[in-house]
Amino acid sequence: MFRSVTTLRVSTVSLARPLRAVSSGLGLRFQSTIKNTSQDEDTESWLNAVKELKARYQSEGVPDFESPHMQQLVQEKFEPNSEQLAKFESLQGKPIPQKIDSVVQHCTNMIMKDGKKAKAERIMTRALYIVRLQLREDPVEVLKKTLDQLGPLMELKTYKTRVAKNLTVPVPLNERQRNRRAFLWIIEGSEKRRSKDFAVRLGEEIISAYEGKSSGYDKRLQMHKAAMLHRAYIKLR
Amino acid sequence: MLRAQFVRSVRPFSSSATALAPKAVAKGFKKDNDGKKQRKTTGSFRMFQDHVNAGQFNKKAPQLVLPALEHHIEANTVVTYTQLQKQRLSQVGAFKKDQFHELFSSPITLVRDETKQIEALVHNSFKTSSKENRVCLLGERGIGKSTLLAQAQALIVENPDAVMLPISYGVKLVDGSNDYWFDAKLGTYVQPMYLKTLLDKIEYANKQSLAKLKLSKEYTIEGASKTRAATKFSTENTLLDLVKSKIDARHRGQVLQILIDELLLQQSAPVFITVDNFGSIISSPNSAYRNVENKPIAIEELQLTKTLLDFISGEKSFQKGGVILATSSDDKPTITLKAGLGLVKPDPYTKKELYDATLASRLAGVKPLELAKLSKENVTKLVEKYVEAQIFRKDELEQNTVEQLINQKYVISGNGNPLELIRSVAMHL
Repeated sequence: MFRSVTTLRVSTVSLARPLRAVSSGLGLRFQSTIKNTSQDEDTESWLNAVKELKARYQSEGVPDFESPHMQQLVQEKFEPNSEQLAKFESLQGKPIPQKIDSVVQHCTNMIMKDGKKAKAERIMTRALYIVRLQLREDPVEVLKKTLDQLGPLMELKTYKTRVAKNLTVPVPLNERQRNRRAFLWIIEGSEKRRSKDFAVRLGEEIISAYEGKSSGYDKRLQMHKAAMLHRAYIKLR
Repeated sequence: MLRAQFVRSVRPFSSSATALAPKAVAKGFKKDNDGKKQRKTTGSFRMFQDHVNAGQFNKKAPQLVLPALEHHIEANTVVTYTQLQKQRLSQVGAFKKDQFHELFSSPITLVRDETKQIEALVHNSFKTSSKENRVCLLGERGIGKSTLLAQAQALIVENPDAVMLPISYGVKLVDGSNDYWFDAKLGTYVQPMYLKTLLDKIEYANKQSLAKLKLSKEYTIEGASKTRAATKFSTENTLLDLVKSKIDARHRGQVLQILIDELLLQQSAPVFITVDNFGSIISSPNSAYRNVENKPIAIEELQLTKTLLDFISGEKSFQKGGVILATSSDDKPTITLKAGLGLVKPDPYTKKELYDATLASRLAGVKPLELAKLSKENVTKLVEKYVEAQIFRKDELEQNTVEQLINQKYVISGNGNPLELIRSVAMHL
């Protein structure tokens, strides 16, 4: 049923415009013979080749394709020479060097907003570049030294006693905590500077903190004073 | 109650309140009355790139003993510029902000194989016409196109007779950032403010050579208005007098025109045109400027770009001299430039924004010079100097030998990209 309908439709089209359809069809056929002679030859040669192979495989059987290829894929086993072994031995105790210094990475993460680490890294790199230009020293060393100078040693922590008075006890800080507080003060100090570029502000503030001029030193002193006042609450076991 | 509220809310009709108000004091642009600057905060007001560039940090760098960039210097040598070269190059804007010159007491540069090619071209330009010495520097970002152009300029400066017409940022000619007006006498659009800076640069860069060249005939340039006296130049005046003259902004285009005409006539001085960021000029047939009908002005209608293209195409040629163009990776990449230089064959269906055949035909005869990456030997020389200049981090120097550093930096710099090389040393965490 379906076939008959399609044939009918074709026939109506050809009836409606017989001349144009024939002429255009002829033209197309003529063009295709000119263009595709080489392609036809190629196809024929391919088909012949396939037929030949088929005949050969039927008579001789299908060859094992995998074995020669697999042999090629087998690699020679790597054997280190004595020099390489000596180097390997010498490096055994040493740790793999870090790509970025852990202190710098910690500070970069503190700058970061909304998870934009690349931006934070760019700011940090530029700030450290300014430090290098100004002081002509290794900027990472300068940063570490600055954080060490600026970081507070003690902090007050409040413990609830479940009676009327809460206890305020001075607690020592570890290195990471000290660095964190120091760098936050540096960021705070940098906000008061003039430049619109955070990298410039940060670089300048690191330099002034390195030279002992940052406002963070007052905060550090206050924290130490408060800790001294509350020293009676320290429990020594 | 309702009525009372209603009455109270009605706006009074009397104008006595405004009449009795104290007279407003006109405020000027001055920040404070004493005339003293009050700094609310400390520190630099600049952005990073400007801060680094203008901070004179090079004064704190250790001194390096390096040979000066001279003619016939050996390739693969790290050199510095002479005092004269440094002065002239900074005046013409050859040193760019992002080239890390602040790390060293004096800008350092490497003599590469390409430098020798450019040197040969400059030497040839001292004898032959500018039409025969047209070159365009090409290459990837940070490969050293602007640096090579600066080296060429340094070699040109060494010749006391040579005249240099330097365009340090080609993009500024076409980006619509300058004032402009149609000079009916010249029949082109003139950019007076840009011309002022350009003429200043020409004056600084060529003080000696322009003073030797006298005008071939008398010229008269009109005054600012009919009542103002016109400026006259006699045959006794030199080209330096012309460039230095304080001509009204509207007629400044004529000064450039006279300068070019006179330079075309003379035979003694080799004249060089150097253009950086050339790709941005050639990227489109139209500039960002608009005419009175709000249609874009073609770059052939602007006086400066038309003059440049005339010399680049070889339509006009100085009797001695050369044209050195440098592209930049900041420029909009188009097929016009590469097709013009004969490096690619454009597809006939390429969009007009990407390829302009007329503009490309203006580049016929310009030789392309593609800059290659630095070799291992080049990197070795540079890294040795960086170690000497103390720009490496302490831990890097402690953990590695110089040879290891060279190997590392060669790989990290993408097998010898100079910008990436110095970045890997100075700008990493």
